[in-house]
Amino acid sequence: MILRRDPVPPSGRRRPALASLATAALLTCAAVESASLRAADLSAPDALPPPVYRVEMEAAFDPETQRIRGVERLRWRNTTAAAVDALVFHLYLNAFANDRTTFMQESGGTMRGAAFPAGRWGWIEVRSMTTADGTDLAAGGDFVQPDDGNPDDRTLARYPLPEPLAPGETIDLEIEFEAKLPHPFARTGYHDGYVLAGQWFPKIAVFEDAGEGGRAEAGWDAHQFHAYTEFFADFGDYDVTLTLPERYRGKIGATGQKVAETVAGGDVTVRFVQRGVHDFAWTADPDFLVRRATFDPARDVSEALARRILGPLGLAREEAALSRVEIDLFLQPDHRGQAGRYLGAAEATLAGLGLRLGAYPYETLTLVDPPWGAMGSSGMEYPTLATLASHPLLEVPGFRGVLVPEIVTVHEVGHQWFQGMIASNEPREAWIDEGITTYYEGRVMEDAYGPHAIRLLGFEVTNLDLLRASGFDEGAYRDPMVAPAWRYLSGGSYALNAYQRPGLMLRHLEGLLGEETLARAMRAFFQRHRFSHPDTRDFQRTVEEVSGRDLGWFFSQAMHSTRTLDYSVRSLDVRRVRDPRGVFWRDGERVELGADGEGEGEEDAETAEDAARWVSTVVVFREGEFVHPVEVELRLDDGRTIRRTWDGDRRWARFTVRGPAQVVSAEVDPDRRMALDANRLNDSRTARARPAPALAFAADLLHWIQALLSAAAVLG
Amino acid sequence: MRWLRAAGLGLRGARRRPGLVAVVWLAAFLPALGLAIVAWGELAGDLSRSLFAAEALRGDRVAVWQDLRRGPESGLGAVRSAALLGALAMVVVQALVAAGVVETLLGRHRRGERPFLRGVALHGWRFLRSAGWFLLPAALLAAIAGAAMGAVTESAPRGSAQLAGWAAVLAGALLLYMPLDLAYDLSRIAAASHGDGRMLVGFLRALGHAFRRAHVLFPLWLVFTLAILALHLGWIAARAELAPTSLGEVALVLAAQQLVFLLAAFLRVALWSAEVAYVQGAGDPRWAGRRAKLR
Repeated sequence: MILRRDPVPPSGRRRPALASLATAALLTCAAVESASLRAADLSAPDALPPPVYRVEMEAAFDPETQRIRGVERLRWRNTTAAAVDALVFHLYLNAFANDRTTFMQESGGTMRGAAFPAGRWGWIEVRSMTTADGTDLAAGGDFVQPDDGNPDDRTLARYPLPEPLAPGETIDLEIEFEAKLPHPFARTGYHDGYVLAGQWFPKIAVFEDAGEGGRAEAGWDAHQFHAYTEFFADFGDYDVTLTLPERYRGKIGATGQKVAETVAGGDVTVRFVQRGVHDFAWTADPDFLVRRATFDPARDVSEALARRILGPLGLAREEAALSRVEIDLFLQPDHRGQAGRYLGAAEATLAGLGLRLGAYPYETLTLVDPPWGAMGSSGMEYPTLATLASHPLLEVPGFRGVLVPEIVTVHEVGHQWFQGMIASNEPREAWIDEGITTYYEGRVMEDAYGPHAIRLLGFEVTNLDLLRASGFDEGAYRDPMVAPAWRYLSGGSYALNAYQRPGLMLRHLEGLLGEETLARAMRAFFQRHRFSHPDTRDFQRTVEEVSGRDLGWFFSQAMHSTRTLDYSVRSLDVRRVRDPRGVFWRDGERVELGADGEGEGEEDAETAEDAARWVSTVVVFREGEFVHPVEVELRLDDGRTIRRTWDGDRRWARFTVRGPAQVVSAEVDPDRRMALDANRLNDSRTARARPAPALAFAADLLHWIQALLSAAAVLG
Repeated sequence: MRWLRAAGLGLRGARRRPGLVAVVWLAAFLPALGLAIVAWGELAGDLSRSLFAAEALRGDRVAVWQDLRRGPESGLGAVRSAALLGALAMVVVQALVAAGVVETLLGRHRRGERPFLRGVALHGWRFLRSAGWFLLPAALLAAIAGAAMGAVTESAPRGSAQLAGWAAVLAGALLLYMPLDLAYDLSRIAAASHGDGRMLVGFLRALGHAFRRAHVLFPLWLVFTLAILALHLGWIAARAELAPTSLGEVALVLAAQQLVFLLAAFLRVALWSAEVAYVQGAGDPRWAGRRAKLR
């Protein structure tokens, strides 16, 4: 059973402690942005991670039955310091086996607005799991449900070992399995000849050492397949041979490089190989149009873009060298006119994220365009493979300004960095991959297409608008941002907290720390943790180290609380200093000043001077519970501006300006740095009302109401 | 009568009756203005003293709407509900307006008479009943078209098939709506002309006539309807390019916007006028009468 007892190389650990410490030390040095931020030569083979496991797999797919029969030869190494007494495998396809699985119960059988069609179930069975000495572990295996105890959920299986696997030891297994692909309801499935096979084979879970992932003692970090969770796996090497009917020849794409394709007996057999990835997915469709392109950084990355991105990082272009990438686009005939849109967006992402974070290290990128009936498999990421989404409507004049194909492509290709290389624990901390990718999605879109993501019927929606549209909850947030995905109140709350809210938080951090500092911190986070499993604490630590600031107060509220940030200018009152009235003591004498008072002559002079004086009072309010220091800018009518910083702790603060000039406007966050501020309309207040904005809005409202009434009039 | 001649007669008729155009325009403008003023009252507090609101004038209206939505409770929800109720009320109001318009266009009044008000008084009730007969098949058609759109969305195997399906459903719905709307107008004109009251019979007979004379009536209806649609779409596109920054510029935008609605009202009256000319040219049939002579 046990083949080798290899010492565990430090680099083989998923969270290389020594490397982290070394990087941390570098980062805390003054020259944070220098050596530690230089991009490694990621195109070199040894830039890929040493594998925790190796998979050799042969699988045959029968479209008639939608079944896959396969043999997976797995060599897995215990890279921890603890002995392993059982192996745990994910059997993700069993989430679609019946309507009582945890996935189906949580989703209600509906995903992305589409209902799961009854009868199109999917499942996976492990027929045998044989060790090198012939022991069949499958016989002793059992399904486990650590999250909810649901006996109908078979997405996680535990196979006890005859004897514990000591640290550094390796085990070889031959696993025979059979799987049936479901309707493409959630990322994976078969529809009318089209296949997107993801999570389709028995997949070994992640065994963590004590201290990793916040755990007290070593153990498997494995959860059932929930409706809103994605995946978590170690890096390994894959060598997969697939056999399909011959009509799929040339129309099969997968993770990694295709190294062979042969035709025999009416079947086509293709072999794909890829080192240093944590999953393997494949696709096929006889209807695919295949478009090939090469991302050539020398040709496809402009000097201007490189300067704009690398300048703040203090890197020269040769220090952030990007590699050539062969892109295979498997396109639906319906979308033949959109190939350029997909490929352009993919290249923009390879350039934008490559320059910002580090080069894409693999030689291939496979883009999959699912057919209309299989949109459940759209918008998903796998190592070196991404599924996209579009519709022929978006080629119709008037609709071309809706950049959905571009947005989806940038997002999913962006996942090659956050999830593909930063293999965070998606079930437990979905924000790391989805949120950071959402943030970069906006940035890359702005690089390549400008600020607007949608231009339709006179409406223009920016990338920031898209974030803000769904980045806030009603009132306070219902969940903290960082939470296991299955513990959010709803799918909506998960989406908000995993995607838009962290996207806004990172834009907010840009404002708080400065764009350059955040860019350096993000690059440092990526460089330090690529090919490992960093968590939220690693992210916070890196940002704090690079910025040199304690940001606990910020992260505790932004990530771990439900607090909403909203500061407002509640009031701005300006009044002229009035003539003094009443009884005063001047030089020991009591005088009464006022309309009929004595001593008016002398006071008149003062009054004349006072007449030119003003008292302006501004009250700034903290409307939300999120406490945050804010800048307050007061503009005076003599052209001066006064800036004050308020710690924002108390519920309100009053600012008073006395002098010959009056305050004409007051504004919190005048530089619009606080992207998390829920309502920007109340951020400012002018002394004098300016009716034009409200009137312009009312005019537009008038148009739409009048159009509605006119349309109704057609019926009358 | 050829459709081009009828269209020409319609345009001339509308040009001669600016008062009617104004009434049709005002019928939608006045209630919309009332609601917009209420909305302005609600918005003014948030927008008129906000520097960020100035961004609305630079075109990023979506950003401002988003934050309005997240702001404190406002009366905008009530405005939205009132607008929807107003749309329902408009169906009734417009039936009465149509009664006045048709009576005026029939041109049988003497100098000094007020044909519009006379028309409302004379034909208001029968036009309201006619609206009921028309709305029934129109609602049925809308429901069927909606269901068909849903079915196409669900079952089309490819996006292009879906797109073709949507286009086919829309075209089909338009082709069915067009004779319904024509029959509605023609039957009301005939009923007003003779003072007849069998509106359902008139509607059905006019429907048959519309199909028989499709080569004349369909192009006539299409040209005016598409012109109105094009006007509104053109304005929406143009408005996106405008960023009024002062009260004067807002006023100009408002004026241009109302010019669009006025032109649309002109075209609507022109269609009515063309339909009256057509009915009169067809021998003034008594579709809604007891002993109708079918043509």
